[in-house]
Parts: sequence; C-alpha cells; structure tokens
Amino acid sequence: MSVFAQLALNGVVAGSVYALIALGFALIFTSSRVFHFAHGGVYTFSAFAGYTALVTLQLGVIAGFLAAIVVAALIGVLINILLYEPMKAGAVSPFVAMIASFGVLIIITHVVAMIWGSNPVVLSRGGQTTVYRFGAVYTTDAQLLIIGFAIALAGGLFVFFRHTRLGIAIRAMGNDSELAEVVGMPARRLRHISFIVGSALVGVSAMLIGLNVGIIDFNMGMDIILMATVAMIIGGLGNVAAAAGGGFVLGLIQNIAIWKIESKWQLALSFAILIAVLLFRPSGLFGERRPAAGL
Amino acid sequence: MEYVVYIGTLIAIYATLTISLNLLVGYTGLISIAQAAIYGVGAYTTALLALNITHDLLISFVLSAIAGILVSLIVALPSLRLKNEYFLIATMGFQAIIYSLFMNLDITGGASGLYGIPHPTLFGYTIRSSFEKFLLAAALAVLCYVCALRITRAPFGRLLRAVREDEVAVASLGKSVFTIKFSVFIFSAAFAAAAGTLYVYSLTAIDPVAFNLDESVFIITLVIVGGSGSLNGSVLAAALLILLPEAFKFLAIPEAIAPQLRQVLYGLLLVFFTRYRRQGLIGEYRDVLK
Repeated sequence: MSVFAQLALNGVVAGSVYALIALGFALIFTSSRVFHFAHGGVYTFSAFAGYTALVTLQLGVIAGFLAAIVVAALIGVLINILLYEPMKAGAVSPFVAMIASFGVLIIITHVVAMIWGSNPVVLSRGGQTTVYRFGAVYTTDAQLLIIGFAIALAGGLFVFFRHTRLGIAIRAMGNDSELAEVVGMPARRLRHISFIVGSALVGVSAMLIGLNVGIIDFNMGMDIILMATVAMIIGGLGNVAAAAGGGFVLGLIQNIAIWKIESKWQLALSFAILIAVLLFRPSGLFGERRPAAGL
Repeated sequence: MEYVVYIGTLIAIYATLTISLNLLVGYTGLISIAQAAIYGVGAYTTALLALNITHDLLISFVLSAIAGILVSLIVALPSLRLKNEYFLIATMGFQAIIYSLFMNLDITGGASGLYGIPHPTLFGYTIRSSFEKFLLAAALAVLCYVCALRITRAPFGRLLRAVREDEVAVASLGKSVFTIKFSVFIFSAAFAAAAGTLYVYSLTAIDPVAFNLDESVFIITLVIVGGSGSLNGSVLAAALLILLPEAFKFLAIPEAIAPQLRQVLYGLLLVFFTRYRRQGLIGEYRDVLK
C-alpha cells in the first residue's frame, strides 16, 4: 500500500510538472491556435538564463527566477511578433506555423548547447533540501512547491478564462480572430499578452523543475514539450485548465504504471494514450463537448 | 575519396527518403512525421536478418519493405479520421513509440544498437566496397524517382492531388479515399524501408538515434526546402542540405560546435521556408502548406 501511495505522490509531482508546461502551452494555443512547440525551447533557454544568474553570477534565488521569467517572456513574445503574427497576417494557417515552430525549437535548443555546452549542469540554490514524511510517503519542499504552484495556477487560469472579461476575450479571439477584431478587440495585443504570460509561466516552471531535478541540459525542452502536447490533448483542447488536468492524469498514469510496467516504457505508453484519445475521444477528458476547430 | 563516396551514399539515401515522403506530404497532403521510424523499421529488419538468417540483398529488400509497409499501415490509420495538426501529432506519437521500441527491446540491442553486420550478397557476389554500395544507393534513388514520377504523372497522381485538395469531393465521385491514402503509404514505406536496408549495409552498424524524431523532422525539412510536390526539389534539397554542413569543414569552426551549428542551420531553413517561401526551392505550388 505504501508503495502505491509513494507512486501516486510521484505521479502527482510529475503531473504537476506536465501541468505547469501544458498551462502556458495551452494558453498560447487558446489565443493563437498554434501548437507552439518552440515553448519547449523557451523552457530550456529560461532555465539556463536562471542558471547563469543563480549559479554562475551568484545573484540569489530571486534574481535567478527573475532572469528566467524575463528571458522567457521576451523570447516568447518575439517569436510571436517575428513569426506567428506575420504568418497570420499573410493568411497562413496555424498548421504551417506549427511546422515553423518545430524549426524554432531546434534553433533554440542548439543555440543553448552552443552557449552553455552540451553537458548537463547542476542547478542548485545551495543549502539543504527539506524532506517531509507523511506516514510512509516522502516528499521534498521543492516538490510541494511545484504541486502547490501547479494547482494554484490551474485554478487561477480556470477562473480567469471563465469569469473575467479579458479571459473570455482571449478565448473568443482564439475561436475567431477576425470576428474578434470586427467587434473591436485588440486581437494582436491580446495575443502578445498571452505569449508574454504563457512564456513567463514557463520561465517560473523551468526554475522550479530545474531546482527539483537538480540538473538541466540543453535537450530537456524537447521531451517536456512532447509531454505537454500529450497532456493538452488528453485534457481537451481550447481549455487551459483542462490541459493541466491532462497533465495530472498523464503523470499519475505514468507513475502508477511503474507498478506493473518497466519505467522505460513510460514514453511509449504516454503516446499510445495520446493516439487513443485523438482517435476515440478527440475532445479530451475534460474538454468542451464540441471539439476544437479542425478536429 | 572514401569520405566522398560516403557523402554520396548519404545523399542518395536521403533523396530516396525525401521523395518517398514527398508523395505523402506534397501530393496527398498527409504531413507525416514518422518517416524516420519506417526507415528504421527497414534498417532494423535488415540488420536482424543479416545477423541471424541471411544477408542476401534481395531478400533483405523484400522482407524489410514488407515490415516497413506493415508498420506504415498502422501509422496510416489515423489519417482516415484526423487532419493537419492532429494527424501530424498522431504520427509523431507513432514515431515516439517505434523509437522507444528500437531503444528498449532486447532484440534491437537497445541504445548501443546492432553492429558487425556482414556485407550483402547479390546473386552470390559479395558487395564489399563502399563504392559499390554507393552505386546501389544511387540506383535505389533513381528507381524511387522514376516510380514517383510515373505515379504522379499518371491519372492516379491527379487522384492524389484531388485528395489533397478536397477529400469529400473525391469520395463523392465514387473513389475510395481509403484505398488512395493507403496505396501512397505503401509506396512510401517500401522505399523508406529500402533506404534503411542500404543504410545498414553501408554503415555495417546502426543505433536508434539515427531514427528518432529529430530525424523525421529533418526529412520533412528536406521536403519543404526542396518544395512539397516537387520531386526535383527533393533531390536538390537532399544534396544541398547534406553538403552544406561539409562546408563548415573549410571554415574555421570549432569541432565542438559544428554539429550544433548544423542543427541551427536546419532549423533556420525550416523557419525561413515556412515563413517566406512555402513552395520551396523549385516547387511551384505554394498552397500545399495552406
């Protein structure tokens, strides 16, 4: 029983990690309809920016987080301004933008390797890790922080998109950008805001996750963005909180499956679930009944 | 000299892969990101055959193609229900699953792969020299090009383009979209798997990294840079993008960052062509990527 409880807790931690990345990814998808794979690159780059401030320059934890957030927001909004917006203006579908986004992911990933090297580096804030024990289950302060932040963020964004004017405006714009502009919404600016907020969130997440794992490397954004994609589709497209839900479900399944299946099959299992959801329940587990456009 | 022959072999193999994927992407509008996985299935089938049963080239070709086709039929299934982004993501899922099999099965040798693969034999003659292997790869590329040309110029080629433009209209004329899509997948997989066969015999060793998602993205980059729907473009792109990083050797670029720089260059090309020139280098039709 205690094994199961520990696996479930590990699942919640992994799920929170996926949820954190999926939240920003889904926020950007909701506003622009682009599968912004370069988000994984923003994640990696911001983690290394935080590493430079925290470890190399010894500026402290807050400066580390700030560096990650600012760099992430800047890269995110630049990608939108330089790439997605001109494509949208040229009536190119979000599908082509998605392919371009792969290119940006590759560029950022390998630029990181050129700047910081291709070997993993240690990301630590120094001092001791506090370990908490609940019965037979162990967790750390960094893990609790990740879980708390993921839940608070998912809840906050759920309320934001349901009950605030700005949130509803962003959703409306995602559904039909032209119509939103016709009724007087500043569509471009709303998308910029989404990219800034979504990318800033991934900056925070990158630091939280990096500090929890303890090491970061240039390739980490590739894997995590695939998991965020799986999470978003399992959860349900076009609904930011659902993406977080998908992240938790994915993390739990992956970790509880370790009970019966070797951990090396985690990735294959996740993608098998992705394909099953795409084929048999395209609206996702928590998504709106009407599937997202194009599905 | 040996190195030049090796580069030539690579260009021929990538030209084959790019043309075979272009039929799916450029002509039928099915943007699949699992081509490296199919290529890998062909390669692993050949390697396992050669190590355990036979290194007869023709048998390798036939059995690898069959394996590649069987796997690609599974990959093709979602194409009947999913479009664009969603089809691409589903194929990405298959790519990840198949890669995970290469990486984790005992029979495929895990992360270290398979090595010590014997030279192939053709009608009792053992093909040893890398130049002969280059000729084989070039012959395969030419065969793939000619077959693709015949297909795309035949009435069936018009049918493919019709599926790309308007599936419902094709179905309404009594044509089976299912049959058309699966035929293209079969053709594409047979050549991708054959490319895998020659890759194995040229290198005499394989490891899973050669067939990962990055590789699939690279092949789709070749299709887009050359021009989706342009067979000449596919050949040109394969040649250019394989040769381009070789130019780094003549510039004073440190050994450590050369591979990274190569990836950055490929990423930049993908972004540039999707942003500014969606018809590719010599393609004419830019709306393939709508």
